[in-house]
Amino acid sequence: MMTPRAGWMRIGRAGLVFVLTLVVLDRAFFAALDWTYRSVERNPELRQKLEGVKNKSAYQWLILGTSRMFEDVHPSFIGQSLGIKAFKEASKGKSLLYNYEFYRLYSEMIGKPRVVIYGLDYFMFGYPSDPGLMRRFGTAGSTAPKPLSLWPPLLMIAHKDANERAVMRILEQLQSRLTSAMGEINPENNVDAMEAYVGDPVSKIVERPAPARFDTVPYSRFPGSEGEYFTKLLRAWQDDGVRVVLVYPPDYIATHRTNFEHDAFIAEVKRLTADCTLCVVLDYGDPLRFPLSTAAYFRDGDYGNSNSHLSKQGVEAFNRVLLPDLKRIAAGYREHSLPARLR
Amino acid sequence: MMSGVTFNSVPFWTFCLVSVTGYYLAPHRFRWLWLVLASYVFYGTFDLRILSVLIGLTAFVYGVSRAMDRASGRIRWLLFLADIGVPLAALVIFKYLTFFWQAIRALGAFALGSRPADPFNILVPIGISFYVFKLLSYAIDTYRRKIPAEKHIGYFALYVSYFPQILAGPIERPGDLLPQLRRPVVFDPSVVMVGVRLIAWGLFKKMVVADRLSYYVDEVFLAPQYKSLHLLVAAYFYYVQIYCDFSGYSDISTGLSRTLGLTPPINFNYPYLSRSVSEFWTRWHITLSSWLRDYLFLPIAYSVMRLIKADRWGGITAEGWGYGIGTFATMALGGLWHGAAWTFVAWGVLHGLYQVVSTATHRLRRRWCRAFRLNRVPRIHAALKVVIVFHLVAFAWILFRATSFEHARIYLRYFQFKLPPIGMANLLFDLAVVSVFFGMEYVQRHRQRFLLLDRLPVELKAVGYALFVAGLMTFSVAANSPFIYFRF
Repeated sequence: MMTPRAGWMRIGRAGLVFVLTLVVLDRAFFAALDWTYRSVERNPELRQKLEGVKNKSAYQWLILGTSRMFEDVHPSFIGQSLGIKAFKEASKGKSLLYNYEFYRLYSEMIGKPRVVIYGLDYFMFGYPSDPGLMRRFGTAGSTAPKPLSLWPPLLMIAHKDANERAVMRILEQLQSRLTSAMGEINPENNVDAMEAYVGDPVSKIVERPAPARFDTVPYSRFPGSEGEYFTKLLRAWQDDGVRVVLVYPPDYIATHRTNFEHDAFIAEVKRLTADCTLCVVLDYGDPLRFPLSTAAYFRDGDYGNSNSHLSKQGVEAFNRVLLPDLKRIAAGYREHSLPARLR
Repeated sequence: MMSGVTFNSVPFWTFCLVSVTGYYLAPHRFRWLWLVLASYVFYGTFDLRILSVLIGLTAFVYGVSRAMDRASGRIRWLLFLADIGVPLAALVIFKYLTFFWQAIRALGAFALGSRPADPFNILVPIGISFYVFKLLSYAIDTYRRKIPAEKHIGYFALYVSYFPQILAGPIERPGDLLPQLRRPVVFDPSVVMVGVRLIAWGLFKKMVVADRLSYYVDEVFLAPQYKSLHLLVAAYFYYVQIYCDFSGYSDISTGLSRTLGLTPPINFNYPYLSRSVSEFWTRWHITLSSWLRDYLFLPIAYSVMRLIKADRWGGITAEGWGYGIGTFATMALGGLWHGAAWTFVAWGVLHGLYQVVSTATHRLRRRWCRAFRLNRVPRIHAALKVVIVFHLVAFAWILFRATSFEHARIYLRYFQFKLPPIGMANLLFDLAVVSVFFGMEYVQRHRQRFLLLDRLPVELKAVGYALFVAGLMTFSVAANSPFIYFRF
């Protein structure tokens, strides 16, 4: 029979074992996750990718942006219609910091582009560039603490969001390898595949009337987490004499209604670019400029879903509108000489 | 969506720590007051207006039930009607008014070409479906004189608003909960530890399994086209997701009650092992299904049997009619209870159909079993039943999860036996998570085979718990998503 004192001692001992084991396991799991993350992000390095580009001087235009530009604006159409070779670096997680770093690296290794088409995103000021993608530059190290540091006591909790992103990124990389193993190439890692990509053939939208209530989302206010890099990009483009087309691609009508501050966001971008003499803002996220209600034109989007991309059919329709505008801008037209619908 | 502290958030656990500590520090005669205040503060964090609805309904049912308890004859009957009518009216107004109004206007639009209705902008009090059912069972049990009307308004208010149960049950009966609330509770570390373990297990189910699976399931349901075999896997995963989400919530709720020295009823009993759909309903959301059985199915079934008067009608026994109509009506209303949409009604009716067909074909199936000699291999026979019932229930969940009948139709239309590479990484990861979960459930279910674990020294057990918590921290989803049943 144990005395109460012995019982409490035992509980205390068990508690101590629990806390110590938890701290050790927390660090062990954190280190394992960090190591796995670094391993999967090691390749492909961006320098290697750009070094491997054939006929570098042929590229005149550069397309930058997030997943919306990946799905919506394609070098293939620009090449066929305007006879111009464009390099595209756009996919999920590539926000302003990434694009700023990439623009500098691209200018150094490929040369300064004549025109940059930059994809505007409703969340571009608040959406941080993926740390895993940033590692591809080989200069930005991990911001994560060393697993052996004593503070914070539980790293897995203190860095929960970053850890979750690491897990998602590991899964994305695993998916990419599985896809390659099953005979499909990821355009994000392959320049030729990126140039051949012309959009997703499938509209994944299940049409439905607007529900009584759905979440609406305000735009990320400037400067947000990466807004300073927008200013830096504008300055770099101005210094380099690069003509810049800031394109807001169409949103599905349900997403357009979700992102209810669309007009305010465009006004903010126009205010920020007011001093940029070589910049033009083209807003196609307006029902009067593009048929936003045609579900077949969109790959996704919904009420309460703030993200939307064009389908292959939508890309074709969009390019019929976009390319003539790009042609005018490339020829040196200024914003005030563009059709009224774009101003 | 109303804001408020949710079960899987840090503010909620801080609130719980304060509530439980205050409960044990307070003298017994004031504990009810402490818990009522805690419950009202908790509920009020969602919206103060919905707190007024809760307090209003509580006061009304308390007063009318007290009067009903003293009354007799016709007055008693009228008071009973008011006692159940007002909470039901509140439920209909807050939750179903738009649904019924749009249904009526849609009929009008179809017949007369009038314009379909716009939805009403009504704030739906979170958890109203659950606490109204608690109020109804109290009113009915008092009317039936199964329990006396509660004299102490504080204990009654606590029965209705008790914070671990107010958002999504369990729908505990007054005869079970009220005596427990009155009982003096002494702090017992071993009982509190049982509660803490249940809470940790509930969090694991919710944050590691359900929320992780939701990424995959939501992606497939959002765009079912061309997802091929992923559609089948997502239907299975949704079954696991909703089970882990709701039973995880129930475990957290029960664990919290255990830390307060209360013993609430079991709400889930491994439903995926059911051998018939009827058995499924004795294992899934047990407090709701027993509520529906006692207050809806049995009264309807007996009323139908009394109406028929003869032994048989149309070649079917009176019991058969009572069972069939009772089952369909109960399941349809049970479906509607889950949400104001026709897909929920269809989900309930489908479950009713399963049960009626199962009963009607009982003899035929027994003959088939003999013909295929399945009765000689009872284990294989049982496993076969489990697999079939699992698929029937998983199929019905598609209706439950779909946003409309059209959505469900598209989902079923695009199903193929071809696995595209897209989504494979998530699928493999989720399979690993689900395997670990079922492995842990197996250990819990067959505890007697793992008695060695109970005999381990307490220090070694502490290492095991630390491993579990580290796993929870590592593999839980960061996003704080609300429980699915909070919508109902």
